[in-house]
Amino acid sequence: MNHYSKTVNSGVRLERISVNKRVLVVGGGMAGLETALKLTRLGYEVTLLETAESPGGSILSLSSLYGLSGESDLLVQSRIEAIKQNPAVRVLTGARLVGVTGTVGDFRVEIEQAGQTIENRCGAIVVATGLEFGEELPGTGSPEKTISHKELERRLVDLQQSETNRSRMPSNICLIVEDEGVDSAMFSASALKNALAIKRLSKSSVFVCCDNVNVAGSGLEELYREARSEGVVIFRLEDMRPQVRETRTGLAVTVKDSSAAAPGGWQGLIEIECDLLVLPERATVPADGVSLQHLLNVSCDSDGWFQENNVWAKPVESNRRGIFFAGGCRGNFDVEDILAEAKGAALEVHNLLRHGKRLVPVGRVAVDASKCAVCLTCLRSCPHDAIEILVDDKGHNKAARIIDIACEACGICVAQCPANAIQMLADQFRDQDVAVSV
Amino acid sequence: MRREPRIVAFCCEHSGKLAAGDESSSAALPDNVGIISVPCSGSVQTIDILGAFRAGADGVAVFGCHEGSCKHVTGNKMVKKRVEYVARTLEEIGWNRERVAFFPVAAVESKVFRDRLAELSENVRDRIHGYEKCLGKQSESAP
Amino acid sequence: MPESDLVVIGGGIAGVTAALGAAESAYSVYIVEKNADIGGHGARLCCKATDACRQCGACVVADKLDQVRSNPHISILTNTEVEQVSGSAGDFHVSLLCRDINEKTFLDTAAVIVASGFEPFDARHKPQLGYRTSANVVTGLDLEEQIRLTGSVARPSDGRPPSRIAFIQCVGSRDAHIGNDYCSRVCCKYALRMAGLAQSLLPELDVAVFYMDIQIAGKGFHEFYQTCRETMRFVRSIPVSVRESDSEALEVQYEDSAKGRLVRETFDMVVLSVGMVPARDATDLATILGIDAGSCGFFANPEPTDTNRTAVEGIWLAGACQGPKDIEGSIAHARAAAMDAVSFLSSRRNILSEPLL
Repeated sequence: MNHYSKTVNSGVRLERISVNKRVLVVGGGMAGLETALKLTRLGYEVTLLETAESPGGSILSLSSLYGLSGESDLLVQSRIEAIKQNPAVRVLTGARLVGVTGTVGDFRVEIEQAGQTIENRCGAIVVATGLEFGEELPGTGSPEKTISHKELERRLVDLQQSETNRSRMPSNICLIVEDEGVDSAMFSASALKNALAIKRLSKSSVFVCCDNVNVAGSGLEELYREARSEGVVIFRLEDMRPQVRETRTGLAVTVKDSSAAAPGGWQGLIEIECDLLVLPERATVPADGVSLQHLLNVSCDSDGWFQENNVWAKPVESNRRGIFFAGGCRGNFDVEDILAEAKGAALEVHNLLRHGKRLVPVGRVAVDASKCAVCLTCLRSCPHDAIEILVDDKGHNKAARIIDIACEACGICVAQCPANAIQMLADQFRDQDVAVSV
Repeated sequence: MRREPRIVAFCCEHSGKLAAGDESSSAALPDNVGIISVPCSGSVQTIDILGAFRAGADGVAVFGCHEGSCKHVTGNKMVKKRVEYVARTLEEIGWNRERVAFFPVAAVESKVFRDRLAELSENVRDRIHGYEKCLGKQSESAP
Repeated sequence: MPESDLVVIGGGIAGVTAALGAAESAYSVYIVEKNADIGGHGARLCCKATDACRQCGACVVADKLDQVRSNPHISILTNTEVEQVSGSAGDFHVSLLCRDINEKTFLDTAAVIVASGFEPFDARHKPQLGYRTSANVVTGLDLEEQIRLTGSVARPSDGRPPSRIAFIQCVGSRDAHIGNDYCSRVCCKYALRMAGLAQSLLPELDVAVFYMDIQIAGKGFHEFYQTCRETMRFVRSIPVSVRESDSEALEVQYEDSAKGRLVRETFDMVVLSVGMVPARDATDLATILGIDAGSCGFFANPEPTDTNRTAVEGIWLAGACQGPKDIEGSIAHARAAAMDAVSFLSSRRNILSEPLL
């Protein structure tokens, strides 16, 4: 027989620990609202934080949603209404998180609202801070002729509401969508649905230039077909970035699409004359997102979105037990996925807090305080933020202590401790294991 | 009679242990391999690896997750450094550094797991036979 | 009659994820799997790491299968099919047929999650691409299994490694002619990951990817795509045919838009990235459950914003049976379905069972 598994059962006792049943949801956009609603259905009380003066998030800046028949407004408004009428949700607008201490089951948070600091305690935190669109444009072209996709959405809302504006729509509109740094179907799909909307509301010619048409989402292949059948002209960018120059009357965009090439040498270079150019802006974590990462001590991916790019963490987990991510803040902006993640986060919280009492294995990993030099190596090595330093009455550091409720028993701190002051209960089997296996 | 090299394999429970399969697995592991399952490859200490050699292992393998998929984020990176340290230490005392190795492996890489063990066994086999022949004896663990 | 809180139909990645989600809340779960073992198609996949993990999820499948087999709250019935479901939310009666012993059995359950999965598109329906007629034309899933079992890429005809390999995307997807007018979402990612793995196993390998639009959505995938663009040749054209020439070489014929005509290129191995289609018994299952089979056979939702809900209260959808999804997407969708079920179950019964760790 080859196998000698570590059994962590002997010597480990289970304790029922009281945990705080309140949940903090940071962010009042689609993901935050949905998570809060699902949590109340499961019987939890929620504090919902939103930095803006009212909830709703970035979905409110969209004129419509692609692939879904619902109006983006209604989707959000119905949830905002439900939250307002729900006594289990305490909504704090114009508020931001400024301090987090403690651990799963007992987080102590500091919230700043209108110059005041509010203290709150909760058992779990769901980060749903969404995304922000940078207004910077890579461009050439004057501001009247070159706008961002976000600005186009605003103009489409106007267009939908007022008939008179429609005749003033520019006659030739070109939308550019670029792949770089984009992690969801949203950008090219938004461009297509906006292009289609323009076609339906006005007599303008509409061109869309993109690297790849993203159709990996519900209803997107149909959207692509509809857009083309209603006269939206779509070019691929291929290897050449679009070149923009000013002309006497407007702008000229040159793209290379080899499917337009012809034998005899024409490489498929096309020049599109337009009066309005719509350029992509980057989606990023909101400005306070960076400090939120440090406040919570959680990992992000290489693009700066919350949650490391690790199969084990997805969909909603972070490296810290009790802290979860849902929605756009992870870098995925497709509405269906966002709603599914919100539900997933609610389930994780429920399985964690179990209405206030959690069975925790105590003593799987333990520090021998007499050997601990408080060098902080373990604290820095722990990937799960499950170690704290005990302090005596005079405020001096005494020893490190494993926070059982947050500990994942990975054994990394045991291996890192230079004084061998930390033992994992299974350690006592190790020498025996080795001898027998050899 | 030539004996098979004794290999100890520390296996992370999310990767190596699953790749090794259970006792009833059809591709049974050879008898010369002993598996020690650990919660994370990052929990394998330098002293554990050296201890395995001292207890009579001819070769030690540490199996952990591929870069970027460690469930405990940094565990596999940490143990790679320790394995390198052990390899250098072995060299300093006149042993072959190839007796110890870290292998990234996923839970579904059953074939790769067995291939790596076979490679390690091969690297080690000639060494022990060479030394034992030189000493004119067997059964002691040899550099 | 045995009672449970939840019956999960299908033991693939979505089914086991949903079962684990409910079991964590200490609800009793039965997984009903029609095949001889749980795991579904996800269990056939290989690891695609080269110098780093590619987040394909194959190992997560193995880990979850391991967890579900040892979970005391979950019972697994293999070789078992659902024959009939009656009753209503909170009180469903499920009749089952155990195929190997040809015996009927029954289960009472409060909730049902449908995780019946998908089937890979049968590439024989596109005979012009040479599947099964040319030995060295394989599907993406064939290649996954080959790598998983042997650790290497080899031509089926002679076991030798290929030197020029072509990946053909959208086989059975985005194809109105055969009625599959949707994107299967997973193929671009799996093909590129496998192409990357093949290049790492065979450094001299020439890789060409024939595509319409590369779907790159997903955390961090665009970075990997950029590295693929540097080492592989991307041709935006879907080949019209793959034919075996006398010398066993494969001739791929496609339209070269720059030249404006059909051209032929030779490869020694071709991989067809087949898409996902509904399971062949999906419509039957929909009838048994009273849910909407949807226009293409992927189960439909009454409203688009809730992709787990069905027309029947107490029955939810998880995974690819609702529409093409990769492993990460199936897990997310299944966790969401489990939340719905748990929410329903907890509102019925106020007694809390012993919480698990």
